[in-house]
Amino acid sequence: MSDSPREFFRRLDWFMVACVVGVILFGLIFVASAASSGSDRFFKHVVFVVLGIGVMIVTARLDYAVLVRHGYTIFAISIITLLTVLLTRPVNNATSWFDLGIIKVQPSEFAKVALVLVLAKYLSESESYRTAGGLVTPLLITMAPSVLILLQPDLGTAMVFIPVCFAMLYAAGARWRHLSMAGGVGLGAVAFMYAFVLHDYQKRRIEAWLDPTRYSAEDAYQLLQSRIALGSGGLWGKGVGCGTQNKLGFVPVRDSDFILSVIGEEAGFVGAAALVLLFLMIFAAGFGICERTREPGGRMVAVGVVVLLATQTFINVGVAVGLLPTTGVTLPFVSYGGSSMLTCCIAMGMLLSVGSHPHWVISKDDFAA
Amino acid sequence: MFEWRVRVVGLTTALVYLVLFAQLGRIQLVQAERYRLMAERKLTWDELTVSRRGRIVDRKGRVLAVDRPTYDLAAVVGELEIEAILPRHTLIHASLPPAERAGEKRAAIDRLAEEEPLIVDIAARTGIEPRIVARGIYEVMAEAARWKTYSKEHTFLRDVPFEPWVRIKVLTEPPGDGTPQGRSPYPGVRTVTSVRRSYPRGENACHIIGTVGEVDAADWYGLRHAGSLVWKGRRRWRRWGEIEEGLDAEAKMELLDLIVEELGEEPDPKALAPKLTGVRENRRLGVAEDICGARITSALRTPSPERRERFQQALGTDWLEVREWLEELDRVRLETGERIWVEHGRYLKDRTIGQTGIEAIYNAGLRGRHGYKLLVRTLADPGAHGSLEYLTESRPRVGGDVRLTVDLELQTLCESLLKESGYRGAAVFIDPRDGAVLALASSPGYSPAAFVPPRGREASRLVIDEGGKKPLFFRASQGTYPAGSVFKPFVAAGALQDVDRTGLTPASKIKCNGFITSGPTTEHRCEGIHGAIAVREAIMRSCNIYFYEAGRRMGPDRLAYWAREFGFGERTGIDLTGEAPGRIPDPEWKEMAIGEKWYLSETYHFSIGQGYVAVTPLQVARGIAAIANGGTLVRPYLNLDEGPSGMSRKVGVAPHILDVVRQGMVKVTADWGGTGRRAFDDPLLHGTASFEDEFPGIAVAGKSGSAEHGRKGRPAHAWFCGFAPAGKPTVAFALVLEEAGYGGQAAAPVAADMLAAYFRIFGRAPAEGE
Repeated sequence: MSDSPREFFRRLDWFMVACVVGVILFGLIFVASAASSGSDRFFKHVVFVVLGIGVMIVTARLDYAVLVRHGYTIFAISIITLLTVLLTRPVNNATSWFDLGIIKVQPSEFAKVALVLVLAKYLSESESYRTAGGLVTPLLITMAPSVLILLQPDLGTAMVFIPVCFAMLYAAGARWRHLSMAGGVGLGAVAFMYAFVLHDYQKRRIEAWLDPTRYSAEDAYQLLQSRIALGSGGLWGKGVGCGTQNKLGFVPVRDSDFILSVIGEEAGFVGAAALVLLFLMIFAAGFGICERTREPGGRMVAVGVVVLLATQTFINVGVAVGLLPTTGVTLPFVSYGGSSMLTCCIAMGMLLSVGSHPHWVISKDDFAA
Repeated sequence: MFEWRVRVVGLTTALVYLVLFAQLGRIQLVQAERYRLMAERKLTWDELTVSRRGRIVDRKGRVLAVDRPTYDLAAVVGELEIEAILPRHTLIHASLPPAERAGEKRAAIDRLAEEEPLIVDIAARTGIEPRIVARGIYEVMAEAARWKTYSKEHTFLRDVPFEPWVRIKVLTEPPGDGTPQGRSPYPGVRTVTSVRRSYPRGENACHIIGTVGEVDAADWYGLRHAGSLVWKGRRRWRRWGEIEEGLDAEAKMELLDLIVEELGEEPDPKALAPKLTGVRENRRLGVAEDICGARITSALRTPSPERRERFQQALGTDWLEVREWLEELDRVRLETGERIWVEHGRYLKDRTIGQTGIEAIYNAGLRGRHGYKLLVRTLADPGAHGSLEYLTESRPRVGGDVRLTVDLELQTLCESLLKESGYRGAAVFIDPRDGAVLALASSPGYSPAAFVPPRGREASRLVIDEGGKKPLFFRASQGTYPAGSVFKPFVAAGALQDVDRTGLTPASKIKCNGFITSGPTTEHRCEGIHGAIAVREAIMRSCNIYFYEAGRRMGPDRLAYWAREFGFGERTGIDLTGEAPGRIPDPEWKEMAIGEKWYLSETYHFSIGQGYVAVTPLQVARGIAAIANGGTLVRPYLNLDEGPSGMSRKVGVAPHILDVVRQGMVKVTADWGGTGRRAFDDPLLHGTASFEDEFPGIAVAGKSGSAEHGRKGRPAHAWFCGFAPAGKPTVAFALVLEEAGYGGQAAAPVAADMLAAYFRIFGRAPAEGE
């Protein structure tokens, strides 16, 4: 039930599209600055941007309801690919992708979209989340990919899932005390994981973040280099392509995980703050779509996508400014990385689709609390 | 209400992002300046290229000291992937009392050695004590922590401005398989290529070679302020204090005026100390002293010629001492490359300089010049930490060799004969024609390798002199002994020259009854009763009475005059550190030093080289050389390429008188009744024939001595000195064996053996000069 192109263009949230294009432009400029000369990473990034925009348009034109309808199938495929990558990789090789020759596919990235879809489907069809026991199923659904990704091991990506799940449950109408209970259990589980599951290097990262002067080893060193990059940028920055911390390779993984440090160094506080503001405008517009949407599945998809992007952005920027331990989460639309770019574009496409496909279906209960 | 819940989620997001903005602003706006400095500091870099020290070789090119490449297993602390870098509180703070400090340190090292997985692993794989590894790593980290406190900046180990590596083990061979090399398998643990002084001949000529040592931390401040490297900064200031104290008030004022003129202000550590920020309280004054010392030194060293003249006038005779002191400082002055190194705040760790002996005297020539590279990181090729572009580079210059006048074969033989004798002592062989030192041996010796950084326990054992044998003491040039009868030839020469005062001609006889009195109860004895005896026979038989009488007629002032004429009581000026001047007494000296008047008995003691007389073996050999070569007092020298200095002078004794003395000395070894006769007639200690049989026609002039010293109940020091061949001398020698008894019995046979070795090595007539 797709609209005519004219109708689609009329309904599209152009403000959000403009903000997304702005963010992507930031990414193009600073990946170009951060990628080593002679490497084809910038070229690849351009390819991913073009592909991503295409995918975003296609997804936006597509009725999100179709995707929600196939939520379980998509989730199952996602879980299977996660399992495959976990089981088929060579021993002692911490890869988290499939090498398809041209690109490497990271199932963990696509699992984010799958989780949003499956939770949207479950929450729009079931009402059991109003009871404490009813929270078990959505939490288990969230746990499944989280644990698989944690085993890869990729703490950062797994961490993104939790706020998404909780925000969707809360928006759907779950009770505060149930959510707090679940949160308490979750914290207990985290404590358990810290004691028994986490790898030493992961623990060390957390400890390095908690007390960087004590751990003058590699992790704290990276954190410091990121801070030096940001701080030395000052208000106006050193100019694009003139960041010494960036160009001399002091900033670690500078074209993806720490790209904000590069932006902060070369474009200063003005540039970095502008980028974060653009993100906030996207999120504000996203929450606007949530409010406007009356259809339960669409609401859930919108909340899920916005919180997903907001969480990921927050974690990435938080790491760069030293508020969070080093994780390895990309900055949406900005960082180099095909899977990340495509996932974000699909998610954004879904959000735009929700915004432009108002299903005027009145829910039985209007989701009232 | 779904909308309401969405707004809560949105608001939460906004609040969380507010924190991000706050942190971003804090880093980029509030702390921007601090991070800007940290970013800029990474952009330039400099490296020191260590030069190789020159070799020290003997006159035939045999190597005594050489720098060898080393491949040290080292921990580059900045690169270590260490699990638990020491928490700051476990590092030593100077504020702790020493005992507590040591305990803390020990505990921290133990903890590292037992618990730090990396250290345990390195230790297990290399087979080195974990504690040794831990101590090394701990020390570098402690130093880094100290620097952190100093710079008050959040500095990581890899950013500290000195070489943050520590030698774990010294490897002389490149490491083979299984030894970590390069960056793997342990990052941060690798082999560091450097050079280290090595001594292929072990203890041979150790005292001549001297020792090398590390430029220590105390020098560092002085270096930064004066651009010159000074031995011990603190010592220099004190030495200045001593010199200043020795000046009369007028000269002192004049000198201070000059220094103020030169420096612009009067240096005073107490005024300077409060200005030194960043230096801990108890170090302040010391640092201030270093700086003042350095400034005075530079003012004195580089004055304009006319001001130099005024310095000289102001200081009077002390000028010589100051000049000597300055020359000492000049030897260790920094080369340009090193100055840049220092000015860039790098630490001169593990750079060796000569500290004693030839290593110190010729340090400037031996050390060559360290090269340096000043690098800047460029943005051109953003590889790993950028590409480094050389701004300037200066290649290291290998140090020049020092070729010694010493013949290693003779030196080795002298050393082994001394050792064999079982006594402590010294032997000197010089060429009387120009003062070239052929052998300069002292026993016991030591291994100079013990002092090469990193110094081990052996060095401290030597320094604190376990067993009390003083192996570091160079008895040949630093040891002062009563001269005993070896003094007599000089007294004889003086007495015959002063004929108008003494009335002694070569034929004049003095009657020996076996004793002489200097007061109602004081008797001075002779070894025998020689009857009427003339000078030649008196030397041959070493008759005390003849010399008592000659000395009495000369008087102490003339005795002192002639002793000084033959070079006693002053340094010979040999190119070695720490030479002793010895002592020649006279009534004026006694009045000043002891506050008593001179007695006749002291004249008697003086005339046979006893009493207050103190001489070094080197002085004796040089005096003997003057008798041998017809009256030229040469300056002994060790550097073959530099040659004789031309600082020789004539002694005021007529040639025919020296001839008489020489004849007397020949009789010592040639005539029956001569004190050294048996040593040259009996078979040599190492050989079947006697010296005379092996070298017929080589007449040896000699003189024995048995010097009484203060220690009661101990045998006398045994002396034997002389020259050969008597007709055309090519070698003059002196030998002393501590507490070995009579010179003729204990020292003469050893001397005969050494002399035989000399003739075997050099042949009867050495090519040069004959």
